[in-house]
Amino acid sequence: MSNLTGFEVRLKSRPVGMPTPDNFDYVQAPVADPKEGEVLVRNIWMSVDPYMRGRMIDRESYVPPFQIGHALQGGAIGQVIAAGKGATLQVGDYVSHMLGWRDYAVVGPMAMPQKIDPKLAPIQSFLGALGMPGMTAYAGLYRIAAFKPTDTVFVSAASGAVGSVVCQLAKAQGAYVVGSAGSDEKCQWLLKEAKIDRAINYRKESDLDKAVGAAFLKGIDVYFENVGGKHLEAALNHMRVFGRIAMCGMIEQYNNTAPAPGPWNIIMTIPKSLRIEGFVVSNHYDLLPKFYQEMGKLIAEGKMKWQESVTDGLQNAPNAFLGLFKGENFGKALVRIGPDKAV
Amino acid sequence: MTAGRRWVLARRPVGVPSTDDFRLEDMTLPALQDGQALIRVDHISVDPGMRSRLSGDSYAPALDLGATIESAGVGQVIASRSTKLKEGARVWGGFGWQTHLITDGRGVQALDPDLYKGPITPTAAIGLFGIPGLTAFFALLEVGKLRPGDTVLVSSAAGTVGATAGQIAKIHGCTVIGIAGSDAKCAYLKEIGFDASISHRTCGDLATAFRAAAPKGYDIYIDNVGGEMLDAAIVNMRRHGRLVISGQIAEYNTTKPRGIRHTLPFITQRLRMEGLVVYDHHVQFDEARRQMATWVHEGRLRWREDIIDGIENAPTAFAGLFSGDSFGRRLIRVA
Repeated sequence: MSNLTGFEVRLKSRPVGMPTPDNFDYVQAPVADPKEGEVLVRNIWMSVDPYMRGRMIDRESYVPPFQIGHALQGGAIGQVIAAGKGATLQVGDYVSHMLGWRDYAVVGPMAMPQKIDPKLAPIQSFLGALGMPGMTAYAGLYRIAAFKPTDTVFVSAASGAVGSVVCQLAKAQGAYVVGSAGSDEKCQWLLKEAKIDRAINYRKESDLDKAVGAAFLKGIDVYFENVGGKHLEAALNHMRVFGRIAMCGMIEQYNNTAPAPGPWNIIMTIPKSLRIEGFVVSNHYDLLPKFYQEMGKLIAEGKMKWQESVTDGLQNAPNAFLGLFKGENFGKALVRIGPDKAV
Repeated sequence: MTAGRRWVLARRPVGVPSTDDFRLEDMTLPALQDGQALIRVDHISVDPGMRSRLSGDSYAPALDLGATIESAGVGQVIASRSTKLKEGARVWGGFGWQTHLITDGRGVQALDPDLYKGPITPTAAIGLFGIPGLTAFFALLEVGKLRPGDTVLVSSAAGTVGATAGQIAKIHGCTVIGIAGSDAKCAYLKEIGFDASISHRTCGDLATAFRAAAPKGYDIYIDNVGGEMLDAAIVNMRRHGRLVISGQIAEYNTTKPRGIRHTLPFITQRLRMEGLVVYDHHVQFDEARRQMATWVHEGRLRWREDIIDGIENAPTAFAGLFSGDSFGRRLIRVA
């Protein structure tokens, strides 16, 4: 056992409906030494993501459920402070891995460590635009939605970590892009920074369907779905023939205890020959080199921007997570666990 | 001058259509002009998909009040001043609910004697080789990307779309489970080679019954029903499952469709759902018909017709589709 002690956030109880701070425990935990092939990482940043809500339910899903009494998991960036025998990573390396929600992580192959290049962009971007959310945007837009530059594109949760990258990838190809977001501030950012064509503040629209229709007089070719519910219904109504819907997330539904009614108009799939496809980014990592190439180019040209919503301190990570469902965050929600550098 | 009869739209139906929504009219057809032919209609179809055009909803243009009800039909040319359509020729097209029509040949096709022989009678043109059979063919092979070994769930399985889809899946080495609305229909599914059947009126909870029939789940769902049945299928799909939406009979008569509740499995199971309009595949229609004809002659593909006599019965036969009283391809014998 190393002489370090750290803290970790554990799942105390399984939330029913909207999670509360009582579902989490912030506790001190011993730090083990890295064994052969492992490295000890001091975490600097961690990610909170809506998908984590699904892992709090005890059910079969695309990732196994979190266990009560154990530390939560999720994307994190840290620096290697000790390396076990035969480890490929060295002390001082920055690494992205899946053992967030703790100060110190013993990282082996199961935690999917990836060395990152701190010169390419600030290290926390590898949890956002250059990480899983950005890759989700890229795979969803290009592979699932089969995006073409002549398409019209509608993006929900458009200022979020995934949505903002979708918007700018499509815009960079010259597409007509409309995003929906939950505040005027987010809409202004979408118009001025992400430079999309129109932004809809869905909280201010009494009739979302009408607002979407007005923004797409000739209809929608690609809908990138992050929300569900009324957004999906509005999109279905205004899709063009041969439209494609990439089902990426449905944050509106994650805390429901019973499935909400809708979309009532799923019948639109027939006359419009629509394709609706769900996806999980882990099936598409073969696109990673192309993704880095495209993002590197757009960042260098100033055509890819993102927002971060930073919460300080591991003990505040549960609140950062809960904020995701209130629409409090603007851009990628991150928790700063400790100072950079770690060594 | 030829006397005939036709059904026209008398008023827009609300909910399930009733006979009062239609009006049977006498008509007199004028003498033929050059380039025209007179067709005597022998059989017409009644299709669930016609429902939306009677009301005119958000996606299908409405049929005008007083217009002849549209449908597919087969018939024979009984007089001709057209070089294209010879007297005596067997033809099919979108003839509508009428006993006769005069045509300039547009939209009318002569039946190819090479295709329509042996067990393949002219009515196949508006059944197995018409929209229903072609829908099944492209739903499975193009949209559903059928692979040998897939487990396939088919709704309205005793109907022409469903029964054809199930048999094509069997020909490709799949496990096929059909959903139908009576014991007689379920027995028929076994007879044409389905591995198992589910009688949806007596099976209790649909999702539970679907699970019991294939505990490992389904790779493909052919949906002709929509609503609750589609929802029950969604939660029983395997990873990377494909849902082909070819019909939604449960939704056609509602002013506010029910739609679905389960959307999260699209992400967790990476499902793909795609709507099918069969005309998008029209360039491959002849190829598909030839392939299906081969299967028929090999004894591997069968179909069933549900023929009702007399054009006066068309509206009742149509309304009955929505309560599931048809069994096979429902046609009206006009002459």
